[in-house]
Amino acid sequence: MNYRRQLEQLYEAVTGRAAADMHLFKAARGNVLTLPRRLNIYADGYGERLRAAVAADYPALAAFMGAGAFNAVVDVYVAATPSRHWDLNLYPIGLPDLVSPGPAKDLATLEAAIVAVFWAADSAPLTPTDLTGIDEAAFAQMPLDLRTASRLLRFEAAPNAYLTAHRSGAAAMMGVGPEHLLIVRHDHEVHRHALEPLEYDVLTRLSQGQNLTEAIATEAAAEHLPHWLGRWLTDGFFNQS
Amino acid sequence: MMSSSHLGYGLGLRRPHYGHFLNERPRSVDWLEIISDNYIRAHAGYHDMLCDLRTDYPIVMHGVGLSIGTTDALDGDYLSALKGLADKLEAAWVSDHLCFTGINGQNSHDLLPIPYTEEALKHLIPRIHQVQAVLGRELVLENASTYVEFDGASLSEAEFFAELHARTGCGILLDINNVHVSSFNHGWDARAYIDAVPSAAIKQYHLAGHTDHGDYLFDTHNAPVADPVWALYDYARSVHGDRATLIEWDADIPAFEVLEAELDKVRAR
Ligand SMILES: [Fe+2]
Repeated sequence: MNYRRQLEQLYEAVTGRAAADMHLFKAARGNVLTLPRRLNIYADGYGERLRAAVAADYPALAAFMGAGAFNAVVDVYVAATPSRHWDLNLYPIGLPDLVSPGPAKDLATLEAAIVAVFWAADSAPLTPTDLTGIDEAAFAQMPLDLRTASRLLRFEAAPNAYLTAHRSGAAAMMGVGPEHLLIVRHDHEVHRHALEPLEYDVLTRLSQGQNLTEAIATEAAAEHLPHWLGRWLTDGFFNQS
Repeated sequence: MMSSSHLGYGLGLRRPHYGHFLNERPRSVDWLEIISDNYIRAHAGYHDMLCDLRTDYPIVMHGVGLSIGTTDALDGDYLSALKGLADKLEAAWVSDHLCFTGINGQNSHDLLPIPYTEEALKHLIPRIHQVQAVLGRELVLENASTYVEFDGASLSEAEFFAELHARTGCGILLDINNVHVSSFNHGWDARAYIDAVPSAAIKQYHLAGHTDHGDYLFDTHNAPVADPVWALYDYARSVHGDRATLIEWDADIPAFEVLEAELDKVRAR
């Protein structure tokens, strides 16, 4: 048995995918702890560690679904999802894929986005100072990239209101949407900005590579632009390119 | 007198005490140990915080994700991120564990034991050299608590450490609680383990609490240091001398004063 095979055997036993060949391990010396129980210490820890990592990132979803249903989804996720990165913080991000469409999936998607934005790479924000000296025509042609640490989201239900109520300790009720949001990390904190539907459309176009002139497709959007732009710059919506 | 690498008595920097360290800068703590993995890809706010704390405390970087024992290639991104943060913080040293955490691209996020064989030595030695070359500094490896041992080992764990040190110059972070836990679990002689570790390699001691499950001890880091671990710490210091010592407390983290009281116990010995 070579070194690699020895590690693989232990790994498979620890992750519950295969029974290990017990001859690989030392029998306990005068100790009542049997080999299967020794391996189970690792196997139990593996499951608990991954389940705890997932549960820690979805507190509102757990409250919304109830412990039984939430834990069942987490169990399925952990069984189906080996971790493929040294960073356990990224492990929970795929959970929404296992939640059936509807308000619960919206809430899962929102909580996953918050985690993703928290751990996304840094980028400097575009600020009003960066725009000094740029004339209106040039500005209208500028590409505006949403911050690296951001997610633009649209939900049929109202998971953001639910999450806000849940975090404040109030009795949270899932309302009817739609909700439009930009989750962005700015000044080292994750912010959830509620967007007007039209504003969401414009930001979607900008995120698809259109410049400001192309993205402002309607008169109504043009009318709102000065107001939006102030907030977009103050709250760090765009990367400094 | 403390040698230059004897930083004194430190604590792990954990989230519940960020505010206390930032605002109060307690002098009862000589140095801080951070879990490298929690910071190397964190946003700049965390790096700013660490740089701020670094003005008052030496910082040691302690990782859990290196997986020095695995047969997968070393993760270049991980190593360069480690080096970047170590340079930024002028880390006193960089440590991880003698273990593997995953294989074939998968990760258990646990510190799994390796067989202590010649074949394993041959595998690990060039990898340690590679890590040290990237980091530009010595790698310090810690003994993990273990619950199973591979059969056919030609060396004890302590002898394996001694070989690694002799052939790579790597340092040893001797976790006294882990020596106690593994010795209980495997029927080793804990004092013989301590005796077999080369003094010159020991950079640091860890002390931590564990949970007694009757027929085995579990490394939980959620309790005060147990009496037999204090006794083994005294023994290690009588054999190898005093070293930078850290109280590890990672779960059910208590009030800062409780940790301070544990540090007082270390100082009083
Ligand atoms: Fe330790």
